[in-house]
Amino acid sequence: METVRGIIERGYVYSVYGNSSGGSLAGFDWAKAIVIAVIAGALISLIVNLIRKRRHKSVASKSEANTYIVEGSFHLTASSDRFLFSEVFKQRRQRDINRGGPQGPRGGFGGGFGGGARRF
Amino acid sequence: MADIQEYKCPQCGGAINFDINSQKMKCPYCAAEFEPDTLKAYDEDLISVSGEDKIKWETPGKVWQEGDDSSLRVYVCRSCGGEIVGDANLGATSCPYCGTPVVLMGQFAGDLKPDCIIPFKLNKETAKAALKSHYKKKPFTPKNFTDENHLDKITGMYVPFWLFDVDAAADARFAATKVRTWFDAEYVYTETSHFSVIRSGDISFRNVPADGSSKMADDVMESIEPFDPSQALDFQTAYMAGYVADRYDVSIAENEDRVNKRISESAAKALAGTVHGYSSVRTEANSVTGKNSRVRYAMYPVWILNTTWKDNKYSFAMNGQTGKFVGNIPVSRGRFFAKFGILAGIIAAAVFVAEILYYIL
Repeated sequence: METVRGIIERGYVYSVYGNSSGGSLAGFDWAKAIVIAVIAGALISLIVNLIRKRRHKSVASKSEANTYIVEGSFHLTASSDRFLFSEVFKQRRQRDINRGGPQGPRGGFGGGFGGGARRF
Repeated sequence: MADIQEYKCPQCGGAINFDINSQKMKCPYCAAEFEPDTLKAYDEDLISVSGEDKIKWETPGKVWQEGDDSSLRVYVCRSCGGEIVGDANLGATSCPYCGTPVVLMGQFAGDLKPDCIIPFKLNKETAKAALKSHYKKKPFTPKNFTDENHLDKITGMYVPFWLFDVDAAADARFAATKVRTWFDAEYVYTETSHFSVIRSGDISFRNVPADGSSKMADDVMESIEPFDPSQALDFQTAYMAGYVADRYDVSIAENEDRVNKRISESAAKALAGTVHGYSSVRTEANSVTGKNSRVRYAMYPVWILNTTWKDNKYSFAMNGQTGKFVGNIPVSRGRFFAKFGILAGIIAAAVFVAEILYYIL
């Protein structure tokens, strides 16, 4: 039985892009692409619809009274900013293994405070 | 028997109501209009010379005894003699037999007299239209909810509110940080400086409302805020003719915590707004001290709409002054998942195509 992938590869897509390395789908990970598409679709749709669902609920307690502040009544009477302490972390810079190439997930300055971070 | 006040047209004797459009008392039978002050004075004249015979009769059989059901009160309509039954807090209603609007004066006398009232600005038809509009704006309303939902009752109600005024002195303490980053050939340095930030300020609040009726859900009443107290008038029972009203049964003390929290939260936000130049700011503590505080008693207009759908009751409320409409509407699971599926499918297809194009190009 011919799969959808087979139809697309032999038919439309190949007829447009040919079977050369320039526009080929050879090596394209169909399963991964479908999984990513489905997960992205489900996630975005879920977020959008949950936000829309909130419109059904219009009753909620108020936690503030901003509406009832007399305009221009707020005056600052005291203000102080006291420095307490400071701390310095240092982290060894990680070198790019492939100089000039794109930084991988471990490249750059990321990676948290592990691996050489030091607190002064 | 409690003193009840009926509002009748001096011209034709018909039951008279407060008219929203003219903001006067208007007779629906002969269209005569009266200022509430005029009508009240006229009614007082009638009462002072009532011509009432004061003969007491023994009532045979069982009568309500004190403590039988302390929540119920029975009043007698002066127009038709029908019994008006209400709970202990009922302040205004209409006779169920002849429709005459009555105000139970004792509920608003002496210490119970409200300081002000905002008369209804929007009528019942507006409330009905607002309900329909409210349904339409919801994406997952069950299919037949709008059509099969029966509007059981629309009640124009004056809800008792406490209005809190205070000049507050607020203090707040914040934990703030400044973060600075730099690097050299070998290391990346991150310096986090910690500060204790103190702010104090004066801030005034006026007319912070808290409903004084145990029958009204607090969150519903807070949801239809704000009312515009600049349109409040000196209290007169005449404004309540044709509407339902309760006197308060939730005291000032019982509302204090709720109001204090709201005021405290707003004061802390105002103080936090003056803390600048930090990477992060977290409120550690805040307090408010009240000066020149006072509480007033007001009656605010609210339309209550009760509906039934598939044997379930749904309640909605509309601010009778501004038209703000609230009420939770059920969510159809079928519609939710259908719309979820359609959108998910469209997005998934778009992402899939994008992935292919990205790979090819």
